[in-house]
Amino acid sequence: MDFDAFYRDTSRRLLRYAYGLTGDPGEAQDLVQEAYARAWQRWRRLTDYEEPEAWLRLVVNRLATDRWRRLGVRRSRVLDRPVPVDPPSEDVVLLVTAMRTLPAAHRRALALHYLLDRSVAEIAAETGASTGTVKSWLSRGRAGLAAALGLVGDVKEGADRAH
Amino acid sequence: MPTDLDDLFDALGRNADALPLAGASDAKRRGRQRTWTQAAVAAAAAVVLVVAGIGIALRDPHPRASRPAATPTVSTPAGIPVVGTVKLGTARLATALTAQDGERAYTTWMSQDDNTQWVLGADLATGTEAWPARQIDDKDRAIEQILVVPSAVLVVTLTHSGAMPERALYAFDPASGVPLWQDYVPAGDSVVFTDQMLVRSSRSEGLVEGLDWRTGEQRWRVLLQDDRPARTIGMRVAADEERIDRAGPRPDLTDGRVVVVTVAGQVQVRQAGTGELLANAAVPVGSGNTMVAYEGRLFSHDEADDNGGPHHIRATDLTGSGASAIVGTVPDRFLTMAGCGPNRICVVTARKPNYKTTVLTAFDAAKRKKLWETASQYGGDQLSSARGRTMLSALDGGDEMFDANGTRIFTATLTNGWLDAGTLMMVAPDGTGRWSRLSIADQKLTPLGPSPGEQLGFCASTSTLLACPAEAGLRIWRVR
Repeated sequence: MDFDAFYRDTSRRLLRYAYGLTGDPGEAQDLVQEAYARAWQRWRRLTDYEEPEAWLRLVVNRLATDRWRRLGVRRSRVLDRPVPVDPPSEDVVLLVTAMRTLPAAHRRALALHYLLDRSVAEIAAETGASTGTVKSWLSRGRAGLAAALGLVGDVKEGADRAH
Repeated sequence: MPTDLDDLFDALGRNADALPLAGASDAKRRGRQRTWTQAAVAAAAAVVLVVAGIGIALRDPHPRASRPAATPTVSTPAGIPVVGTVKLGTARLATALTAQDGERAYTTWMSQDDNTQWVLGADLATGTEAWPARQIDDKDRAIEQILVVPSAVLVVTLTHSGAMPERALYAFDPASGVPLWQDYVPAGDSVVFTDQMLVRSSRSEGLVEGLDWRTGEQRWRVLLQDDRPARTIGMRVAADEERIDRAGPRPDLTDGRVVVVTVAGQVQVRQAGTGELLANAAVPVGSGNTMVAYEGRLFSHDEADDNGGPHHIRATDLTGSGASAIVGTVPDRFLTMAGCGPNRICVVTARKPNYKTTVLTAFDAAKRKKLWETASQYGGDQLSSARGRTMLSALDGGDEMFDANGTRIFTATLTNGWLDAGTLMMVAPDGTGRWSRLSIADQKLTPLGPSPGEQLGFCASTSTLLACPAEAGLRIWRVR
């Protein structure tokens, strides 16, 4: 497996995931680059993994909760010369704000389910939790979002989301 | 506003898809940036540690969190006194690294505002500025490392432009911060930091030279034109391990011997301060980049073994006889090795079939026998060691420490690092996020106080003080 091709095929998905976890575009970009930097450091080993993309998500997941670890590896964004992008819509701002109020496990499950279309079984396999636990995370995550969005009882659960 | 979560997340996903993302080459560059000084950096970059089996509910993102083991003694938390905070002039830090010499902390950082790079000295005891921030005029490079020896503070920067030498060295006076000299290290050269002198070897130039820390001038030179130096490494000894701190194993070495390995496999042991030849030996050609000089021996493995192994771990005497012998073999894929106590070498391998599992194996070099081996719970492949205890860390989080007998002392998912050779700094495993100190010998856990709740760069520490660059400045805490 070629690293460049792997990066090309997976980095957008990882950025979605990181954005869902952090709600911060800059942080998400940093986390993604850091995760791939670590992947490059151990690329030979990673190519033998059944799901190297899941390993990347694990790294992003941990870095997202790890304030100490991140500052020392953050690159200057000035150097990156980011392309200007449109600001997020009001809906997105509200959603990411609501996501930040959730426990990490709920946020992770919601990001995997809604942003990466992962099924309950797949989330269970990735996190090492039971399907029942994952269902609980999703349910409580949705309830938490509804409460944070001020839409208690009004948010559709999306439990039948096609996969 | 749509109230269907599918719609909301779809909007979030579209927003994420529109974000710019640097390319694969940028990630590779960042990854390569670590490898040169990995030992110094990797051990410093860690956080929430879960002591094995404390038996308290953990806020841990990974299910492998707690492991049963002995319960450490927990004392009453007493808060974390801040000795002082030295302003850095910006809250927008990119890379921020720290070193200490017992009296002072030295921090180098890059500002996100304008990519300027700086270095500053602070008095550890008072938490005040020792000398003001000095700018490093090197905007095109990334900061890679900071280290301190008795007569200089050295900042190492890095570029991958290809058009210029890869690394640049900037030396400052530890007392005043006055710039002393600067130099470049072309790609492929080796640099060894010893207390006596900075030793550089160049394959392209066919020489080994000793550079004065105060002036950067060449003090001695050895020409090796016929059989050129392939690599030069420093001799690490137990005294160096004793100096381990929050920044990890010290990159500057105290022993004073450097080991020059030539393209043809000839080994010269030279005095770093004078260049004097102390001993000769030889290793098989192709012993590669994984060689380790430790406590008077050169440990190597034949890279020809890499395609399937078994890997022969060789110990070559560097104290006079030059005798060389295989101390043992390891199967599958060789990853790394490091000295881990008197007469000992620890080797990490990745195991078939998928190479996810890593195994730590300890050998006795004197008796040429395997002492013990144990599978890592986290796929760890980064080694650090002090007082015969070995820490095995994984890049994706997860640390384990083993005593000299191979007994697992603790495991962790998100780790902190060494405070000193006998103490770890960690976040309490009780879900409170409190900083704590763990005495490794007696497993005594001492909560210190709440986490500062701010992003921190790479820290350095003494047994009593912790210095970390933060958005508010260089913070110095009393941790004992």
